[in-house]
Amino acid sequence: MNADSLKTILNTEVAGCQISLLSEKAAYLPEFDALLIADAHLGKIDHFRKHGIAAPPGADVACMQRLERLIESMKPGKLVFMGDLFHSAANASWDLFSDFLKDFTQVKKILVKGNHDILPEEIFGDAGLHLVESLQLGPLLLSHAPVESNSYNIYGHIHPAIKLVGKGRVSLKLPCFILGNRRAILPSFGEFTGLALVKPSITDRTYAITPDAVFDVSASRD
Amino acid sequence: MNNNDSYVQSALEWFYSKDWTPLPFQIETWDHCLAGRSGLLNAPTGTGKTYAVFVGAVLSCLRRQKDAHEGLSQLRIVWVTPVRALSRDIAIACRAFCESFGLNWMVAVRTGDTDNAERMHQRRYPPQVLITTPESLHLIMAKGYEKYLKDVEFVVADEWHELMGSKRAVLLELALSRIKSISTPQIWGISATLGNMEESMDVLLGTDHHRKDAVMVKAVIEKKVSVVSIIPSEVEKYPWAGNLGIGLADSLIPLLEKSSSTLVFTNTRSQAEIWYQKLLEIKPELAGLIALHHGSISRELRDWVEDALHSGRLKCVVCTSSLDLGVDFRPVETIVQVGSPKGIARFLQRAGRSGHQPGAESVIYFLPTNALQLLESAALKKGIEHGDVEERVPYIRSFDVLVQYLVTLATSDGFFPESIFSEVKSTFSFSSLSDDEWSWVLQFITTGGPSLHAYNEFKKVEIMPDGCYRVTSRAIAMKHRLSIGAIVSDTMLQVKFQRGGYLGSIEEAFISKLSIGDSFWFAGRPLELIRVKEMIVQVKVSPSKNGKFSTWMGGRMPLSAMLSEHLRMVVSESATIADSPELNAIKPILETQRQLSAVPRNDEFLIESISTRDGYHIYMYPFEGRFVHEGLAAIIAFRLSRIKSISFSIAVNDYGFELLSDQPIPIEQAIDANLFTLDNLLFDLQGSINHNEMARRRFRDIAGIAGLVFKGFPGRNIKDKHLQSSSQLFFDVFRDYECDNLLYKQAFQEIMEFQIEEVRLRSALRRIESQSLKLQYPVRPTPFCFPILADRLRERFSTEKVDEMIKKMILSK
Repeated sequence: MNADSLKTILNTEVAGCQISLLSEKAAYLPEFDALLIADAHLGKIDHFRKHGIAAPPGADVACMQRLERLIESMKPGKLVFMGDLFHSAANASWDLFSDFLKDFTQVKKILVKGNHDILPEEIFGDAGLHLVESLQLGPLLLSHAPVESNSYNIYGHIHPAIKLVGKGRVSLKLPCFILGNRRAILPSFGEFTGLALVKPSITDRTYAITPDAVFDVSASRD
Repeated sequence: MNNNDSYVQSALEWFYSKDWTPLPFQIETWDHCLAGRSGLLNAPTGTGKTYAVFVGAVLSCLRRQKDAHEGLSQLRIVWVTPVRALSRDIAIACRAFCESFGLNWMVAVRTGDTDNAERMHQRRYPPQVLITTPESLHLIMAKGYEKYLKDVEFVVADEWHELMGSKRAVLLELALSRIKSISTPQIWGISATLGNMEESMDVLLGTDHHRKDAVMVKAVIEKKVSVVSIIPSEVEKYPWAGNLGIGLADSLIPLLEKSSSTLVFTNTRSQAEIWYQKLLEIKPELAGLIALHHGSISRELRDWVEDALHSGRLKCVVCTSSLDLGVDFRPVETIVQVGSPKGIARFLQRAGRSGHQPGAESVIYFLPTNALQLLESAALKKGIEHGDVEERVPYIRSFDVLVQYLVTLATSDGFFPESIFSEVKSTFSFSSLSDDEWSWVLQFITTGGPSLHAYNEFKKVEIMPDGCYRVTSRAIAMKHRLSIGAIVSDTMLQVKFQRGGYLGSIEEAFISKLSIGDSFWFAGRPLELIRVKEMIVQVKVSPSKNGKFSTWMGGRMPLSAMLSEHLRMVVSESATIADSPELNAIKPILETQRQLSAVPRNDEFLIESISTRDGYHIYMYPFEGRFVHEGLAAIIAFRLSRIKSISFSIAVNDYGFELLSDQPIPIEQAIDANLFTLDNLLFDLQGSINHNEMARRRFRDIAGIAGLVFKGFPGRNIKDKHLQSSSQLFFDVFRDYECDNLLYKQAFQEIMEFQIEEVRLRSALRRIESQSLKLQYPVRPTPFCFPILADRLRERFSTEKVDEMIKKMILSK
């Protein structure tokens, strides 16, 4: 892999497997050569626009450019979308995105279905996406939302963010990765998706994401 | 006797028949109306202003319409009131006149409360008089509205001062610009005194009006107002900070007892809930005699409260600004203001709720919620003595309202840009609208802004082959009509008992903080949360009395410039004034302030530097109101950060502001480097504003008004989940991908005008520059700084790199 063009990679492990946390709000599993993208919510901008709400169209394009940069530098064998890949019913953004995917013939593209992924199965298929409910990679079970399982569960769905507070009562809200003993939560990849504040438990490792870096903030406790 | 005189004569006779004496300003208004003029009547509430303008309007319609007594078939008089609650009272007064004047006229009310059947009826059988709100006036502009409005001869903006300085005034300006083209009506405003009376008339009448035809009628009514402060018996024990004032609740009881009816005004709805509980707790006998009234309580409950108060069944109502208006025709005996009213005009208006009889004295009791507010009370007295009243700055160039208005027109009969452009430009708000800006707005509603996208699926307003701008999608039209208006609130959920029974509405943000089974106070009752289902909060009466009090956003108005000025004088002269009960009472606290630090004279500017375990604090006291302080604090933080890389959190109140940092603040060095200079002010302001959240907060309303954020259909929001978003998200994507969007830019312009109050900020800096700086190092928090220190709502300002900051931060618990 050639990760030079990426801003930050923080390497750690979950359930005995290596995992790279990327400041582009994605994760990479070297043992399985899989790039994980959760909650891209592509098409959301167009969905809004189609309904008369003038969201600026640039955000989706920027999101795809970030994905392109990731694929080109990580050169993953598998590209796993962890659900909520596409926000709505088909619109022009879907055509744009499926054209975009066609450029990456070497990558196996898998979509773990999320609640927003309401497009007909064949449309995903036409774009070269293999649709699954969940994906088992060794000890890891990849799903969109949390599932009951004996495997270590990696999921997205909640768009996690944490709040950091400093002296002088400064505070910051940042998207994050949360790695626990039994499960890991990935940040949302999309630009126009919003964040939900979570409170990590004492056993969780928490990684805050800024535009340039990934920080381990687990130790930052009282 | 000329023709007009005969009409005036008939009105006079009607007055005499009621044993009323018409006041000179009423007759004057009738004369002007009959002469075909437009204008503004400057009269306080409760003085007969309604009959001045309504009778004038009727007479003028009658003069023009010979067969009037046979009944007119079309709408003639549109009466716009800012508050739905007022419409009922006005309709009663108007009907009373029409009936006994022998007119077979229909007077109808059209507000958000009017049901669908009644609306349809009004459409088919137009009333001669329609009482409505600015929002409903826009809703009236539905299909076929030109025909409906074609005979309108009079539009009256009642309580115009309430609309001035809000975007609702812009709504009305735009509606008027349309009606003027349809039927050229006379336009009259009725307004309490404002500091900018002439300007407020210009705003109402628009720039296309010939000023020589417009008149201002002033009702000369001497009204004496006296202010009595409720002074804590032991001022040393009275809290230095706080906005609740519960500690003084006991002293209110004797007042309630001796008065037949009392209004207790509080500044926020949660404060009203708490006061209501507290009074009942101290005096359980009040149960059944005291009630609660605020904007979140259901209309039926509020109507009941108003009626019960006036029929004498209630002794006391604890209320918010929800009762600032609406008791026009029925005065109460005693008025109490809890906490700072923030301005002289608002205080006077509330005082005016009592003693409505001409010549009667209005007494208002001021209950300070913390010790320093005694100073404010003294300042209020001074302001009233001087006859000072605040200005209301009109909103100009509110593109969010313009976008909404154009879509409204497009959803009804459609519009042609050429003619609408000149109408829009004739309003005060949009007189400076450029051709480019107009094109941008048209593009925004038709193509969703300048689209770089190869495929643009944007769909809202379409341009028909004949050039008419229309909305053809029923779904879009319906959604739009549901969001017409310029008041944006948080998503509201309805609070209902499990077995039915509607209590009112509450912000989603509050409910989301509760868990099932939690208890909370709402509408004066302890409730237990059973479940939240769609847009309904199901509750039952809770056995627990220790529930949370619901909080509501907003309500943080700044102290007015005028009151600030008097406050500074009071502080400066506090040592020498001997005859003020307030200043006598607060003496021990000022003495403590003097010992620890200083009490600034008029030619001094006080700065305090303190360190605590929270970090290093700098306090400054411009006494200019919280908005100006926010701006000043940002500039000072920005300038300090040029000396060294440093983060601050900023807290403000109406008297001063605080910069708090984890590092020592180089204040002495900064003062030497001309910290308060006016040079580069705009640049520094831009630099510092971009760093904080002001624009983002402003954008919340803009996004709502312009239709970017849709709150969902009432009662069913599930289906539209995929269209939900927040103004925050929009703000971020506009900043990153479309920063020349006029709505985005508007957020920054509004900050300059209304948030930072740039004009006021400049004059504050100019004053500080001329004052001698008094830098003090108190060993512990002073009475002045304590209220700010205790405030937990903070802004952030930083020039440090994010990663530097993160290393010093911890996870929030």
